[in-house]
Amino acid sequence: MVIQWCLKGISERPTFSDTEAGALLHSGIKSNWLFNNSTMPIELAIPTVQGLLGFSALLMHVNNYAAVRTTSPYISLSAGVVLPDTALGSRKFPAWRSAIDFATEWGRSSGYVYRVWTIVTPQPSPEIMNVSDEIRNLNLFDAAWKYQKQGEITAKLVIPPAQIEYVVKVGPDRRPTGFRRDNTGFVKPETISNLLVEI
Amino acid sequence: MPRLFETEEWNENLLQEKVRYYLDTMRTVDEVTREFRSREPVREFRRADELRFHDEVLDVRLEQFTEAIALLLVSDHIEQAKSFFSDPGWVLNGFPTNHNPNGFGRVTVNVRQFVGLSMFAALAKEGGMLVGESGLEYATSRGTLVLLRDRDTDREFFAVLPTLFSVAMASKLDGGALYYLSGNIAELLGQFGAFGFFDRPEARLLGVYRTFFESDSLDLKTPVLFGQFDGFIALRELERRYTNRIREMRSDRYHWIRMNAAGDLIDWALLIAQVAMLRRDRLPFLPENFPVSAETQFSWDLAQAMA
Repeated sequence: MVIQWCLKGISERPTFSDTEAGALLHSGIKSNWLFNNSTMPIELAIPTVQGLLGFSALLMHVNNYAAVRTTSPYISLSAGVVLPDTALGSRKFPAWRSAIDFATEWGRSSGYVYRVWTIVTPQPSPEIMNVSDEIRNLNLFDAAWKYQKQGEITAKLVIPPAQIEYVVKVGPDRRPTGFRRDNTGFVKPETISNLLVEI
Repeated sequence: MPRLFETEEWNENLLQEKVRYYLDTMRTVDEVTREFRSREPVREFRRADELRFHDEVLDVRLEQFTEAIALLLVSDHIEQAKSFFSDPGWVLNGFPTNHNPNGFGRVTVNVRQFVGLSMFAALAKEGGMLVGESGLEYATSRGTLVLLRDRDTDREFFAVLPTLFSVAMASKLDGGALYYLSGNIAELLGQFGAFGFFDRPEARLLGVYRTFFESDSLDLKTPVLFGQFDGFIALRELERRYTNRIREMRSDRYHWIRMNAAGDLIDWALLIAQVAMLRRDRLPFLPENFPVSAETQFSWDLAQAMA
């Protein structure tokens, strides 16, 4: 397993402004499915979500988002990507670009960028709820090549609050506005690394 | 004027908004990169780190500049696109060079930046490639790009050689630059494995320039290694790849209509090769009336408009 830092962009709108953006640090970043089914009892929600997770559902989320945008249990994150040795040279796409493009809707609004960490599996795991898939890796997900430049990592159901480090607000010109909230409940990913101290 | 099929559906205001966003935010790239940079600079390597940071900023600017240009070129805004891509200053400084009376001077750039910026200049018929003291350069009326090459970038340099060859052919022709590129290709081919060089259609495409070398009696060994027929097949392969990519991108209506399809709207290696072939009038072996897809036809029409 790999622990991967990622960024997530969410645009500002009447129902999602500074207060709500800060609140996500304590409630977690929900998938659209969870957002739209937040009152479902957990004993029903877990098997329901489990039934929704699968390889084709994951590809649908990536390649045909319009069809599943309100019901997808997946969450798109960006970790950036390098495309080496292309005919144009080595092309780099930093995570912040995708996150800010989505957060500002390409300059149409202000938005929020969250820095989160997630556990990424070394092979596809679309059915496993607590880990994420490295969509940007064409060796694993060649059917998702269209969005490789977005450096996508796809999480499931929710990014727990303890894995969100901070949120920064950016304006339509992409500049940080000065709004930043650090998560007091954040837990460093080093906590789950395999480096043990001596007894 | 050429227009990629189904870009007529795009909203013109949204298109211009998006192009403005990519261009206007080029000058905020350094600020944003600093904000979201995950690695802390190591004190001992501060200078190297600053150089790497500068490189990262230019790389990002180049990518979003390329996206803005691609949006314009596929949607029948060639003149608007040309006004931008004839000036490397947009990427180097984040704003047009004509804001600076001295131009952008002599700027050392990495492989990716050299390929991208010289290709745009060549498409705009601006300047040409030459061999300077330290290697390849591309001189424009606004300044000169100097390619930084070291052992670490050899692999990347070899990967872009075919594209650079097309850039050289499309720009003001300089025998020295062609000899330099040809010599490097010969060197690469002598290496074991050659990083799968022959597997790439971009490399086999070099065969299309063979007529040029023969008729101009240039004593270049490399193109002889690529037959004209190889070049023709490679060209069709690149055209097919482009067609498939655009059709795939269009099939995702949600992102296509919003101009957020994440793949490349232009196959730049194909386009610069087409422009080079048209400018050098070296297409006698291309069969006329050869059936091509609408997407391929668009790329040829675009090349014709810029040739």
